[in-house]
Amino acid sequence: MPCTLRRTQRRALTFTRSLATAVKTTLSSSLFCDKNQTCSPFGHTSRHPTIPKHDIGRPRQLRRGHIPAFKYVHFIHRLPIELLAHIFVIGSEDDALSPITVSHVCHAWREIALRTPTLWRRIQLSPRLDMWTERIYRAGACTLDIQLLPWIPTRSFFPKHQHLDMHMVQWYIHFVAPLIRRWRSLEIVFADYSPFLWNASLSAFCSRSRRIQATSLESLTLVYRANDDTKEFCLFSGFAPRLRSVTLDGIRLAWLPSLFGNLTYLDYTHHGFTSGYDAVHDVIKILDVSSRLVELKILFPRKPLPAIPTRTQAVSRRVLLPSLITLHLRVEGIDIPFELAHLMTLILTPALTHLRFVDLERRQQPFYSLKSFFYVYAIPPSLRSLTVEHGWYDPPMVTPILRSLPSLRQLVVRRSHSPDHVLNLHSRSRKGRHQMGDVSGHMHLHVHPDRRAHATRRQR
Amino acid sequence: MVLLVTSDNEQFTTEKDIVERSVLIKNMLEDVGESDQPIPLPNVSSSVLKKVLEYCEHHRGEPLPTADSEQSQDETRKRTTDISEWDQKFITVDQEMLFEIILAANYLDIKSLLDVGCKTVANMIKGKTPEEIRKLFNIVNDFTPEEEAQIKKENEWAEDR
Repeated sequence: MPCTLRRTQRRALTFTRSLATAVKTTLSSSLFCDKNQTCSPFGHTSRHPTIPKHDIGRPRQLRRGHIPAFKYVHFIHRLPIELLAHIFVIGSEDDALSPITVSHVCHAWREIALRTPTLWRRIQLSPRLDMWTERIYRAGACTLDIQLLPWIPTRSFFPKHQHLDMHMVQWYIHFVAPLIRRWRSLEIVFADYSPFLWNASLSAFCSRSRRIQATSLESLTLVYRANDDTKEFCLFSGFAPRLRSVTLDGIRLAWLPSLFGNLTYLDYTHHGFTSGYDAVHDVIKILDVSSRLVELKILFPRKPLPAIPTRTQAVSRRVLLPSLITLHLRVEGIDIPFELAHLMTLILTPALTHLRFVDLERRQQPFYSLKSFFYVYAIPPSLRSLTVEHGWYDPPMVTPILRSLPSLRQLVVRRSHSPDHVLNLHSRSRKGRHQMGDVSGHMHLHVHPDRRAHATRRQR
Repeated sequence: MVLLVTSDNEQFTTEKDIVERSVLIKNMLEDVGESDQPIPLPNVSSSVLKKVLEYCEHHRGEPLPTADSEQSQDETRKRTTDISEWDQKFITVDQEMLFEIILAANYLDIKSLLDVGCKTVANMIKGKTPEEIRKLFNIVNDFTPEEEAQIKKENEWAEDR
């Protein structure tokens, strides 16, 4: 007999009002009690010195004036400590100095900040290594987010530029390398050219030693567009079992299944040392290993000359990405690169629901080879959301695409000097699609049955 | 339909799939089974529950966050302080209501709403100096001299040089 009191799911651990009330009471008392009787929200005794009232032999320290009793208590004081700590952590994701700021507000906030290790986990390397040493200490046993960026966080509105050369980079890496097993994420971005930057950054992690295995690493970002070093790096002794998110630009990596086999997010900008069929072959190899991707962003930037000899043999190997839901196809130059068009004929994405055509240079005219691209690439009928930007937009082409997507719920058209056009297609009926198309004022609903049939046939 | 009773004894009748965005209510309904009994919410006032239900109705049908989806969201590393356009309009309320919504979301266990509220407060703090934060939230600087000395030292870390 089924028990009516049984739950189908486990209950998640949450902060209940009773806890909140208890914390609120304690916190309020700590914030608003008399100066000489200060009590901590964490239950310790006060660290305020008790100065004898008439001890003239000991000079009094300069103190602020007596704090008047509050007539008005701000609502933030009603939040439980856990929620306040959560807010601090959210703020620290955008601003590396935010933990310091909140810990300088008042005694209670400082106590909360110092007892929240996750608040201090972000280490943005800069010449103030004493600060980062202290922050690593405050992060306790927490995993760390390591960042090496071309700017230094400051309290002023604009961050300060940081020039990075190979010596400086080696110095920074030497500081964080011993903590590699605690790295949760690694982000290295170089904005300016300087020789051997990747070598200086990564050579310490390219041996077969077990000591350089990145056991906790979940996210990896390596960006250096101006890189001219064609070396292929094999990282972390081929071992990063928790790695799920990777962003790459301007680097060649050995794409081992033990490193990249579990990726769910990949933002890949081709390094440009190969072009044509070779570049397509490189990316197909990558996608073959990382076939569990859920989100993929891809860009083939134009580089002056490929540094690795090219071949003329076409790539015929196809790759199935069964879990891919979101795909961004990005173009940086004046036209859709051949590599991107060819690649799209080789990948199968049966579960794709979100597709975005991105034009980074925001051209006002449609790409020259737009028609050819859609001749070879059929958008999967599973699509629910489509975004078409700038050079990808050509009114006569959008309409037949729209017609060939029965599951489409939203179309966003983004063009220069005009607001975004968003079409929410709630109706499944063709009639509804006609009406929605008319709403845009920019979609000319000319039906091209041949094209629609062609697209459907290709997808099958 | 589900009947909810607020702290000020107002009754709200709403659909099950809307109200089940609250893990607390969802679990209550599972515990009680099919019943016409009202669900008391002694920690939520009617004005706050009205806003909470507005949020739940707008996000009705969206997948509820699970352990897996939270992990995957973390993986993609979206900017944590980004809030969608509708949510931003929704949360543009006076500060009393904002903090009431946060407390209600915490009590009712609606993670997405709690996140929206916490992100809004984080955005209020963002870019401000400690003194500005004190003014914003009516907080008194009550550091001990030892803490003041430590803070002075820490301030050097953030100096623009």
